[in-house]
Amino acid sequence: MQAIEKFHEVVNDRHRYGEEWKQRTGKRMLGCLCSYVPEEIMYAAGILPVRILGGHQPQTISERHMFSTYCPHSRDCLAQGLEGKYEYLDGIVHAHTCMHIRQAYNSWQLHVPTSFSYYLPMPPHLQSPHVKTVVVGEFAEFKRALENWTGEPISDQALDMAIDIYNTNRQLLRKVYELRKSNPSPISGVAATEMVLASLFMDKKEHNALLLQALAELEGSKPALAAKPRLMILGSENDDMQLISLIEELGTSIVIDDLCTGSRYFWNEVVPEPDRLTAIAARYINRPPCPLKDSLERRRFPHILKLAKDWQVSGVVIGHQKFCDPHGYDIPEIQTMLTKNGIPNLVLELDVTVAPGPVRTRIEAFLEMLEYAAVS
Amino acid sequence: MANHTAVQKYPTKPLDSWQKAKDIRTNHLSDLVNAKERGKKVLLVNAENGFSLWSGFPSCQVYWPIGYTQELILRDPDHSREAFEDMEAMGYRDICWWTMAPLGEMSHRRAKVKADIIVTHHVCEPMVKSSQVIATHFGIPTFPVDFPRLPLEQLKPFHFDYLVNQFHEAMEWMEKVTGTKCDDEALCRGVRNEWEVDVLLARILELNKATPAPLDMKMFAALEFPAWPESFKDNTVQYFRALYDEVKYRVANGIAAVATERCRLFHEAAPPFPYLNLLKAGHKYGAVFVGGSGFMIFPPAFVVGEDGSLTAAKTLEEQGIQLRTRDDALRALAKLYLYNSPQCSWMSILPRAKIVSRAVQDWHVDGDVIHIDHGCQGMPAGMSEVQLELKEMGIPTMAYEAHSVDGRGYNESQLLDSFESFFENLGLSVIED
Repeated sequence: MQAIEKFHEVVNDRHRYGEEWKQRTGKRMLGCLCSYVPEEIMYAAGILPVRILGGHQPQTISERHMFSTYCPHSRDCLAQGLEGKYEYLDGIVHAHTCMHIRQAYNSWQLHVPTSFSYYLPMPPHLQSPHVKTVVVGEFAEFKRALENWTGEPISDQALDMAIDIYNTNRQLLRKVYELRKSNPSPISGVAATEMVLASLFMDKKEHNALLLQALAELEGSKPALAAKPRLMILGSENDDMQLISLIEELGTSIVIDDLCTGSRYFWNEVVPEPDRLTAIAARYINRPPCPLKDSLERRRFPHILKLAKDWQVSGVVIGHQKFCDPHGYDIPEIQTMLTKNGIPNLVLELDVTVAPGPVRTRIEAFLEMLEYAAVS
Repeated sequence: MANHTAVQKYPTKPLDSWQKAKDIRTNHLSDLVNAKERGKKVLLVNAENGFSLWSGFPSCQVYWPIGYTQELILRDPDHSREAFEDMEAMGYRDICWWTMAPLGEMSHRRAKVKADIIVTHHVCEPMVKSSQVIATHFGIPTFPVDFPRLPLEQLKPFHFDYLVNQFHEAMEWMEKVTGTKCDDEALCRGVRNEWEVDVLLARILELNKATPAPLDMKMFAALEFPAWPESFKDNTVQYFRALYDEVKYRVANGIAAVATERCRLFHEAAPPFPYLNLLKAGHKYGAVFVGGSGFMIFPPAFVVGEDGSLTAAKTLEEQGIQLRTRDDALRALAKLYLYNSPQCSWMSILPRAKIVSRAVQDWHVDGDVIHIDHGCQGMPAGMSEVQLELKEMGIPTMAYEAHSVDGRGYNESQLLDSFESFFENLGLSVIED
């Protein structure tokens, strides 16, 4: 499948894609540390937003800047900047989620030369009746900052174009995910993960073209995997392809996820409104939340349960970045909820790298549990 | 650098305010434990300041989980340890212990305090998540207020409006949940009092710039307790006025916290409460903890200057502000938090580094000790960059890993060894009597 191979290529050589895109278009690129950054606004300004992710290689370069008692993903992201892997970026943007990644952003600002950096204080309490004004206000400030930096105003037409392209991307990714409801799924979890990850690094227009190609290739194709235990994977970000491959190599099929580098990134669209920033703000307020944006009432839990049921999963693997407080608060109750609904689940603690041996043992034991549950 | 050539001995004197501080603390705990017998609802306030927000509801007894956990650690360590083990057994590990402690404490067989209502001043992520978990577990109504945490230069009018609107919403919610009307006069009085208490606290810390320092931080940790859960009360204002006068007297008369002061230190982040005597480890070397983020960031009312300097704010009266209505009070409280508290700047590394590097100069500090606290991630966040900044300035630092809440998380002897090595690296030796 050519499109799927292309996604794989982009994910594994993301920096080359970025450098080539920049050379080809002559345009600017901004690194984003969180999926709450309103990418549509940057795209409307002719800027390519690129999600910064870790390299999953052992590193010590970030240790003098962030204590090792903070989230490994955050330290790994910072390491990429300090090692010069993202030299082609013109700047960095962060929308507030947690203090861990905020440290990575601040240290990046201090030590990696950029011509633009912006911290967008995305409020945590997105269910507050007063929050929309704040989010629209923050997005307006962000838009102004981009306009000052580029020297060009961002028109409503440009915003409409960006919203349209991003919505198309979200619709196409949803279509791919819908296909994964089939048993067996026509696409492996590895391929689907790479498909979404590629969208984090690519120009959405180009990604849309590849998605259309992928959908055409998938239609009528033989299933990638024979019917196997269907798994859901949840957590914060998870782009550790070694881990995801390992889980599937052991005889499973990852059919759905709730990850910020997965479905949470694209699940809902911008619903047009006369004021474009209000429309974009509503999208980010109403999207499937990360734990930090999920107060007062828990909206994440029923969403996870619905995904698990709609995609008919046999079990759920919960990836927990070591020292991640926000997800640490949710996990015990997610486990209780899943168990009450007859869905076996397993928590895996993640670090910059994972030890394949112990992870293999845990997954194998989990699969035995699933087999036992299936026959009893 | 510390003066090691002569061991000057300053006069010392026990604090007159000591007993009053103890009385307020003891009465608060007694009120908390007996709240239900007195017909009060127990209001768990997951917060670092702003307690006066709830002062219009005298039918509620404030339960500050951080303070109560401190008390348990000191007075009933077995209960404290068992509560943490219960919390871990429920699946909560490697998270903020200060805000989650009530989950274990309230589940404990010897629990003396149980919350009826939970409110959160959401300054850092664990606060609201802890409240959410505890509320769900015990079926308690809960309300979060999202406090923007931005340095002054990033604050916009809509941030202020957002906070005030939430305050109003919180009052309406409390009225519904408690079935009582907010006493707006009590609220005005409470906010007015909290303002003065926080300003006095900042002024007391400013006095600690003097050599010799009139207070050390172990003393301060005990003295400042009323500024939290009792901040809005008249007797707390009286107490801090008296304490401020006493500390001024000590400065005017060169009365020291430690007679042999010859080295001044900062402590960053909360100290390990099960081993609070660590803050006195330097005394035999003439080393005194005179300040640090563990004590200066909340709740003292400092205005943060563009250069990172901390200057005590003015009270409402000094600003010519009178509180007459609920809206006046809530606006004044928002102003206290957003414009007169270093905690807004604290969550961002660049302002944090400015504040610390300026403070070490203003408080004439010879070294900085950074606690990489496994019990609270918010305070040490960004401190590695601050450490690099201090290194550029030639200020020696040491970082140690421990746990501000859980005494099982470290070895006291090893901590003491680390501290003493640091003192010796500063050129200090034990002062013989």
